[in-house]
Amino acid sequence: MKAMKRIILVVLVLVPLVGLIDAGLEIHRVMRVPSLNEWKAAADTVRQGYKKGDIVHFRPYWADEGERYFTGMDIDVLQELDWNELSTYHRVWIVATMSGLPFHVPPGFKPLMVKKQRRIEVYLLQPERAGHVVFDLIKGLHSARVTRIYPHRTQQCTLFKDHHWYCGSVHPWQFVGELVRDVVDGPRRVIWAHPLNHGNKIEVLYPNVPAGRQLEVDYGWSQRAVESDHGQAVHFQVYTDRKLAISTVLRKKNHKWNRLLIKLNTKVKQHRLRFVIWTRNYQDRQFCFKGWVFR
Amino acid sequence: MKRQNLLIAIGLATIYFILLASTLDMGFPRDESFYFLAGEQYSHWFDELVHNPAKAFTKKSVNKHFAFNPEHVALPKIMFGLSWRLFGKISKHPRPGWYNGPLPKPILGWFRESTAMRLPVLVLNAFLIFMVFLFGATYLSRRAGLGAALVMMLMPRFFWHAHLACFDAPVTVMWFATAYAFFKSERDGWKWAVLTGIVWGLALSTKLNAYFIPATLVLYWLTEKASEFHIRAGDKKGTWLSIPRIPMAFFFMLLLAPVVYFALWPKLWFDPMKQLKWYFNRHMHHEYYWAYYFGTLYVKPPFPVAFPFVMSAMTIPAPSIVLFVVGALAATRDAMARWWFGLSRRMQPLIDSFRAPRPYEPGVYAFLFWNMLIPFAIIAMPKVPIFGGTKHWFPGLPFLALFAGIGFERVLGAIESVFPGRRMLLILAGLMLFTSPFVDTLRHHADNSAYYNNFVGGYWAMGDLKMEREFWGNSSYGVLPYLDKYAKAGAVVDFHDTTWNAVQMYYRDHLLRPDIRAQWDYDTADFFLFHIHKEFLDLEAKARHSFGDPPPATGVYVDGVALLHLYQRKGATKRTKRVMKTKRVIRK
Repeated sequence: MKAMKRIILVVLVLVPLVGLIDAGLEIHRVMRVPSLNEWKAAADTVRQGYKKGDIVHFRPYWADEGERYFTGMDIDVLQELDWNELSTYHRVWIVATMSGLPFHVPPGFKPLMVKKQRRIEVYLLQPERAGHVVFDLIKGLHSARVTRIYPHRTQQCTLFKDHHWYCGSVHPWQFVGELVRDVVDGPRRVIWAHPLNHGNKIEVLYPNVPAGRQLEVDYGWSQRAVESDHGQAVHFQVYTDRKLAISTVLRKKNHKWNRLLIKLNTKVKQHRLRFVIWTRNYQDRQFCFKGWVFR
Repeated sequence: MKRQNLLIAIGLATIYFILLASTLDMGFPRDESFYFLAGEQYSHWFDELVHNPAKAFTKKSVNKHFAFNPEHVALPKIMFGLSWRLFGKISKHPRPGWYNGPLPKPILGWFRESTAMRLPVLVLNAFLIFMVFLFGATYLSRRAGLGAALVMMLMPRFFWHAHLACFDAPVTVMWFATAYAFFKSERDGWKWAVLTGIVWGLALSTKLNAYFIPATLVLYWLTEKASEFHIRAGDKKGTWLSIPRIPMAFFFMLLLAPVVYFALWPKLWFDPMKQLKWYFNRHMHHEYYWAYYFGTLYVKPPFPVAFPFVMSAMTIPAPSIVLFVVGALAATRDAMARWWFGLSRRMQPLIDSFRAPRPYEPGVYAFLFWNMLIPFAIIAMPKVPIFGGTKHWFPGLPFLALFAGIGFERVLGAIESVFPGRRMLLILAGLMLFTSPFVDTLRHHADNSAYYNNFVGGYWAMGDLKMEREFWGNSSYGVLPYLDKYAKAGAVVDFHDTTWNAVQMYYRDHLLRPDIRAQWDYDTADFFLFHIHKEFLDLEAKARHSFGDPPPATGVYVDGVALLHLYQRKGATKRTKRVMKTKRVIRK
């Protein structure tokens, strides 16, 4: 017991060291915050090599103080690194700093350039499947045909405005279109496809998609849908070349960003992709998706 | 001894007041802006009282002047309003926004209007430090009192709230004052019992939290006197329950507090039951706001039970948390010593290593425990809204600080026993324990509502752990110099989460150029100030798109983490845009 008493005494005597550790952690953290000049230098590095089709990702996502110097570049709006999505770009610039360091190049990416400046490191990565995307559902949305299907009639959506397909006049949320929305873990660029009510269907048809080997589709709820208890599950069906490839149900409690991988018929010259979305109760069911066809 | 303690208490309170008064350069959060307006409106009732006393007490006059913000009791707002009239530098301004007629005549005109409104809160909080030290020094030890006062003074989030013309810091003071008076009434006689009744009335007149004080004190009394409850059977009167003496303070609380409450809330004067019914109904069915906590946006119950405990562990400086743990362990040891001793004599040396240098006041641990726990426990209930960061359990913090004070005393005691006679080591230990909290409290004082301690990553925790960032629209203050310098004449600014009342106060305090127009419509605005909250991310995306997808031109950053993004439209500035270093960003 004497030993125990001694240990406790020593522990108590050492308590003030917590203050030193605390101060040390703070100094260590503050020392890692880059200055605006360092951000400017990093931006200059990226700008020198930046090409159309590249994307810039800040790591960690919240380290955006220097974003002001990256004007005119395509900035990744995602909070978390989604390597799969980033691999759809030609090249990826990673601007890593603070808690985003050390940065390790993930598998499937080839480092083309690494520039380690004082507190910011700039990486230029090339995805192994760079150039393999033959069709992007968001970029090709203008070529899609959007239709509402009711039990005894269909309604073609013919108004295409601001990259949104409207059925009739402009509506604040009943449309199929490109948006940046808070989906799952932060803002994502997605196709917003709010379903209709009472099981009536929305169909998004891409009639002439270049030939590819695989279709990848991501889908999920917006943050608002996650917060709400209203509405019912949404049914999501993917047809490739007139055949039902996948039929899935997005339940209300499914708060993930889900992925579908669909093999495509390699013998055809063009694909016909059809996405059908419906629910019994559409209240707050903000359904979003996006996808790519890979060579 | 008593005189020395009194002098130290006054010294600490003065230092705290100076610290608060010299760090008033911070933004106006949403709730404070409403209370500015309320204070101003309520103050006009006193004009009527002076000029036409008979009319002032009519229902019409009361309903006119106290109509705004009836969901909260009136006393703090009366204080803000009176202080504003007495000390405020009320001057003509192109965008006045004064309520209720012409420019009021300044009386002393010493301070900015917002400072004058905040002054009563500053004084109250200095008084809290006075009381915390005095309580600690009287019932624990001087060292414990000093440690507790320092821990309380150097809590960054509380320090931030301690500036605001709001209710959360004042009700913390009033809770402590009521509890202190009650504790003293049990020892020092009926005068303190009377005071307990009056102070509880003042506490009730400060904020709703005070309704939980009696339950807390009853719990303490039951715990302390548990052994004095007896069931007696077998005599001529049959079976009966013998209870200990009921504290006199309870009777005075019942008698005096309602009178004080009634007197200080004019809305009760004419139809008290209707107002009280409405008041309780409003708070029983309060809407749920957002709480972003480890990557989950909570918008409805059940809220995490651990929320107040985890948030406190993350937002009180780590050395203070460690002192609290030591103090709580020591208190547990003291409280359970008899039981442990009975369990095993071999444990005695272990028990002794934690022993207080001299016995504390009997009952003090239970008193601190219940008063600390209840404010936390209320918010821990899954159905209670948890908006507002950490402010809703502030009344528990002074008691937590007193436990930390006990820890401080034990640490110093241990150093003394290992290194006898080395007084410099004690001073060094104090410096080591309180330097870092001191720096944390003052370094980003205007953004302390976003503070996380260094052990969880500091401000980076907001991003890395996905926690709530700023608190309710005050961060716009950080980019006012940018707008002042760069915005073109007549520029339109969408202030997002900052209220119109707050913007008005920026005008009145000459912090915002009068030609700049506030308008909550990003589509037509030249500037958009986005306050970073998880729940508003969609709005940022829309606004950014509306501005042509530019990156933020500047913002408010703490240690590299953004609290606010400023977007500007092409042509919004009066000259070629230059990137300006945001105020308060610490650079090496």
